[in-house]
Amino acid sequence: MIPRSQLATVLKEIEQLSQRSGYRIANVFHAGDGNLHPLILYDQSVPGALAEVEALGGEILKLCVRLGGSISGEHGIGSDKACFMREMFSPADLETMQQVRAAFDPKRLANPEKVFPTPRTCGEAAHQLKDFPNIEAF
Amino acid sequence: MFTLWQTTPWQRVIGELAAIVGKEGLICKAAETLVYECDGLSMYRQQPKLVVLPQTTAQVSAVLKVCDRYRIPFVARGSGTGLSGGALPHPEGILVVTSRMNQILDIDLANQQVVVQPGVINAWVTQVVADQGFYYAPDPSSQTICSIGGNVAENSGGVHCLKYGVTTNHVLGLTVVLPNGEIVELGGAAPEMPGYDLMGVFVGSEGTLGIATEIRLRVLKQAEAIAVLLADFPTIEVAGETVSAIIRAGIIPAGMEIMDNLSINAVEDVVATNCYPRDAGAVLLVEVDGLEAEVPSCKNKSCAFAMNRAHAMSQWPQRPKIACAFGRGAKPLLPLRVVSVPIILSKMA
Repeated sequence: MIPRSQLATVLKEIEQLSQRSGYRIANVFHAGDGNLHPLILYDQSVPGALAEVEALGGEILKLCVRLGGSISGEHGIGSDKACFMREMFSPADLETMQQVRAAFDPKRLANPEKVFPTPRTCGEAAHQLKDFPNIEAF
Repeated sequence: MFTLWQTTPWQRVIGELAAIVGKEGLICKAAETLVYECDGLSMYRQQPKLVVLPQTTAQVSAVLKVCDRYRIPFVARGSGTGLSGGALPHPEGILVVTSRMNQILDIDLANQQVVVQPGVINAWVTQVVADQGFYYAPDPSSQTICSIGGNVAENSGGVHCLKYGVTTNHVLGLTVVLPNGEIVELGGAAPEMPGYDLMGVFVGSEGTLGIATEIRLRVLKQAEAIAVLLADFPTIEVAGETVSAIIRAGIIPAGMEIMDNLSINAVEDVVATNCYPRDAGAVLLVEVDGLEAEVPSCKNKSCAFAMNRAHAMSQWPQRPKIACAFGRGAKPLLPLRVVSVPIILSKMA
């Protein structure tokens, strides 16, 4: 999701990322509300392609956040984008959300390891657990 | 906690779950749970230990009480069309699938409300009220297969959310089973309930706060008139500028969609609509809806904006060609839902 006013800038930068990475990127979007759906085309049978494409997708998400947008429009965070929540939210923001979650689900049984970065799902999150001193890691 | 999961007495759990949902509501064999190993984001795969298919709020509550007692993680799944892996199973957990919770429980058109179970398909809601001139506005491009429960979990949007808002703007009340099995009501039939908006917290919580088992939706009256414009442009930037110009003028179209050249050609290669020009840098679809008195004027203004943008570009003398369909009480015409594109592109790749 991006501010509508940033549409041209974002599309230009996505094109540059596409050229630099060698992957073609198709753009289909709900233009009225700045809801982009960049589709990176790749061949799953090429070893290493998936990791490169995931990194490229990450660059696009960071670009959207940098320009005042968000990492998801209407498809959620799920497993796919949990590791990028830190690009958007401060440790205090994330801790607050964990407290809301804990109010509903104190035992952490409902869809664990989704939405928020965890050590198992996001390697880099492992050493950042100190950000949540009051919250039990799971 | 990982050690606790590894010591789960699965045989006992299976016995307790079978007593709740019956044998036909429980899938234990690895060869059968394989079907559920991923959702629409198929690059992540994980088989669950068990799949449970409850049919009622009471069954969901009983299942989650078992999870709570043995500390078993659970993941809820509707139709499995989500694109962010929200319904990816947990390796030591239970997948609660809502596809057998497919009943429409109440239709109250005097108050423009429909109550459904979470496994009801998005498009069914419109289908049951269409004869009376109503529809359910949020329309994810997967609307013919995605479930309302999944829409609530993801706060799904769609083509027409520009004007009408996303799922959260169309949910009035929820019956929710909390992770400990407790059944609670959030929101309700009366709009704008006082107190904290806990329903707003729940919608879009991606299955992390519990499972919605009854969902009260708002349905809208169909627009009197609908017009759809298709304009093509030399570059995607000019298409984007046209979008801004239309909104600046105070027109709020029901939807505005842009496809770039790569997407246009992908669609034409496979679906062969022959309505999208293959040499265009981008196409813009604008759908305006509303009263018969206002739609023609909004359509004409939007047309003019598109023409002006294109005329400023001398290398594009013949453009944009604007096709306009104008229907009275007709179905919206957006000829291709964007869902076509990802499916097609994955075939190309």
